[in-house]
Amino acid sequence: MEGILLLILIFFGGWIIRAVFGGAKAAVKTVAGQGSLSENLQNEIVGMGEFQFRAIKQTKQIDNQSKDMLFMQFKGLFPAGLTNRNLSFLFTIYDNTNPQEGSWVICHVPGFNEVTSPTFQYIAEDIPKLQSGYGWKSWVNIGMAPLEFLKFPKKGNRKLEFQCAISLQGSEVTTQHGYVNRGKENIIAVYNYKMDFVNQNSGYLEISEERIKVEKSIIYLCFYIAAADGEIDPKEGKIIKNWVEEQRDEAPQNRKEETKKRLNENILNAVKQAKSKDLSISQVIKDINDNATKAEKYEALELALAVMSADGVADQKELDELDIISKKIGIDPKEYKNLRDKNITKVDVVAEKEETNTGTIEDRKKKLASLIGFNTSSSKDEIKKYLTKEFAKWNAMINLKDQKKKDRAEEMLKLIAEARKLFIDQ
Amino acid sequence: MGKIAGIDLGTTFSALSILNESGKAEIVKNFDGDYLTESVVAFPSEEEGKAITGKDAKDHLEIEPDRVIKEVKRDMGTDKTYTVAGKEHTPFGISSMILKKLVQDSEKQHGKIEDVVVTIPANFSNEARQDTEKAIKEAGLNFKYIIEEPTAAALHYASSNSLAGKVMIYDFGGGTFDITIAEINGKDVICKTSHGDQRLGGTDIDRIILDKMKDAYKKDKGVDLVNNKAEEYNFTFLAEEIKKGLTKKEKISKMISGKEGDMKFTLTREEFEKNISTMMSKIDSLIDVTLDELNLKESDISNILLVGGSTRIPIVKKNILKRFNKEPLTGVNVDEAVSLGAALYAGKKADPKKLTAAQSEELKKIDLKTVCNFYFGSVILRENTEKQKLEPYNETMLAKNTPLPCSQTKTFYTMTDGQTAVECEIKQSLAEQGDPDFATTIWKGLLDNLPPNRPQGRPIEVTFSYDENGMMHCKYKDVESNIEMPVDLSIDKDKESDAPTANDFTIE
Repeated sequence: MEGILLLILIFFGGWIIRAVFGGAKAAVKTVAGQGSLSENLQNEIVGMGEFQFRAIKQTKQIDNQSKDMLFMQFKGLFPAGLTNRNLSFLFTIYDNTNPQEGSWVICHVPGFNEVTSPTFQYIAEDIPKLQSGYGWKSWVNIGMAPLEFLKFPKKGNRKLEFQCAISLQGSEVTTQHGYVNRGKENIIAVYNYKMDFVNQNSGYLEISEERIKVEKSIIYLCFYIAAADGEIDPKEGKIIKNWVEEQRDEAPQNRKEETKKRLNENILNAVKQAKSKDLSISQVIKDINDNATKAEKYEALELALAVMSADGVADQKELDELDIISKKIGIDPKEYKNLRDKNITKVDVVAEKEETNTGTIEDRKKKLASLIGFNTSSSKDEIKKYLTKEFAKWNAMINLKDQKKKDRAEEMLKLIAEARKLFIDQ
Repeated sequence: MGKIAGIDLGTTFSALSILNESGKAEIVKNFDGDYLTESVVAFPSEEEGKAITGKDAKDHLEIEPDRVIKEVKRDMGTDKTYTVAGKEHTPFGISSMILKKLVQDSEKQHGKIEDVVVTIPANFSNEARQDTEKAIKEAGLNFKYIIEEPTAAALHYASSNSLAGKVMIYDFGGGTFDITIAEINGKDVICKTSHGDQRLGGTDIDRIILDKMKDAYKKDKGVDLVNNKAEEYNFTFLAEEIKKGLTKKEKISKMISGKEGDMKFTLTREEFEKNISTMMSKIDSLIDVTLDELNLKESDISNILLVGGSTRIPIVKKNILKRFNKEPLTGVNVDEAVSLGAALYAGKKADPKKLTAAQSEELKKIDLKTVCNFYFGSVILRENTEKQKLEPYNETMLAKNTPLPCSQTKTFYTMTDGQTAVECEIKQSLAEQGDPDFATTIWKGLLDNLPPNRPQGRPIEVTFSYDENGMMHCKYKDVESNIEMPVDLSIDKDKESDAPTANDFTIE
């Protein structure tokens, strides 16, 4: 599909904008306050000074949360070359701490990066025409970068250089990793600003201490789940192995060997402990809570669920363990239920059929509650309400084209009907 | 003047009704003298190349079961095919043969049929609806509309009874179960919501009884009762007989003959009801979902209408009485209500010039309003703040139970600078499903060749419309360039096949 850039729609009016506090263009208006452009507009030449550029770190309140931002600002009298024209302000950031290591600053948020790479870039084009003889008396925000989403090469003290290339709107200026690739002749003016900055997070060239701990915890968690039904199925192991290979592949070139060795050691120890039942899940949960980000917690849980469903059976013990773990690592119950159901649609068998069940009614009730995901101690009304909701959800899936999902939905509907019979009717 | 007909294309039986001269619906007998025609097609080896449909085809199950095709309704909208004597048949192809038989039998007695309306279960997928349309066209019929079975039944009940309030239509047929709640005021019918199960019907009950027979024989004689397809069908007929017998008697005994001799098989009504209790609980769950969706209690339902042969099973009425504290309505033939209602609907939808004055006058007395039976959505990308990542999301465009016709336009935006194409994916689901994996993709395509070099955030207008015939029409439009892509989700014979071509297997 070469040639087609990114093909997915976003709902610019709500989802993305709210989530990344402003998206690109809208952010300037909502966060920086576009109003200040005109409020600052002055024609007092005396005392205004020359046109200057700077970058500054500021904390802003967005959706009741404090967010650290880097603002790119201008002030001073508009230079003659920039007035009465529709301008485009293109901002980039270089990390000049050690150019041999890498000088790109990366941002994975749409609208804050180059078309052809994840390198940070911000273009402001909705600036009103600058009038001759006027200027901005105080600093005005023109560009911005959400610090939360910026990735620098390494952690610690960084020497950053901000650049703003101003060109006429519509004139072709493209960049590659922050450097002008085409259309240099179209640039009217370039402004630079150097800033010493302390990066608190691990860089993209590094593997953080926390990530090393998280990877270990994920491996231990997954082998614990794989062994919950008594033995580790080769298919379950394969899922973990594939994930480990991905971690190795994503490691920096000079750390691949070391990463492989470390992860393999984790695997050997985890398997040994899981088999001998010595693996302390409470310690694994503690380590996840101490070190993992929210996204990493989901990564751990999604992999553990994939391990659960890998052998083709939704095992009650494995599901029970995962239900508890999800709560202990603070996963949103709604998101968890969605992930859990998604994995149930992937298995070959959800549970033994009603007609072949040989256990007691009480055991069967426990099994049904575990598979459908409700608490047996809830009131009859609560259980009925839950079962109705679940029935509606799985019944909606019987029209899916995917035969496997359709079959699993059918199985789940039978189990819910059986649960209704045992918990409500009898 | 040609006749206007309504056809109930059922899983096990089908029926045809016509609109008579005075504007009343009238069921028509087939050539065997029956009102119901078996939805079965056979290709006997004796007459190679010839197909027989109906009762004779069902009887042929005992002779050449491999040459008989039945219950195709359950496979409508799927890729399933049936091979008989090396020839492949599709579910809609077989359905078209059943339709032809019904129409031909009627035409020989009552003259040419001009327009037809065919019924479908309430929760038939879009693909299954399209397959039904294909079957109608392949049968050479002048297709007018399709209508949902419970809706047709409600129309018939409303035309022949004085009903008022919220009415529940309980449609338990040979292969499907549907539950619909309609608001009926005299002859005005407004369908509020429907739910159903396409794999819950009389044939499933027969299978449960057959399994009991198999277990009993194996336990008693130590060998399998059924060893080939013909035997399977013979014992299925016996199971059906036992089921029917239990509607009147408390206990039924039958001799079953297998490899190791005869055995007396007895089934009491109590045992039978215990055996189908989970199935009945499934029906109760569907009623829970339907009432819950409209925020109704059992006491809000003024009448319960029974449709379909399986409602003759005594536990059905018993459960309804226990739950709703009222007897379901009787007096209308449960097997015929659907086709009779469809004929009335065909009359309502017919060109007024084709109707006699008496017909027009009579049809004025009934009115029907239907709702959108599915959620329809378009896939977008949105930030999941909880998981801290961007993920695909099925944004609802049309909600279930919206009165038809309906239309909705929403604006979305391109994601990146220089974006020249937008991936469009239309989803359909019976419940509101934000996760695209839990909804069916009914169409996928690209809105491409958009102008280059534009910044992100370009508006893309998406419009979904649903017409009174239950068909979808969508449009994706790039607002600035006016480039648009209409998507018509009604029948499209030239639609590209998803099947791989030889080129898909070559390497570069």
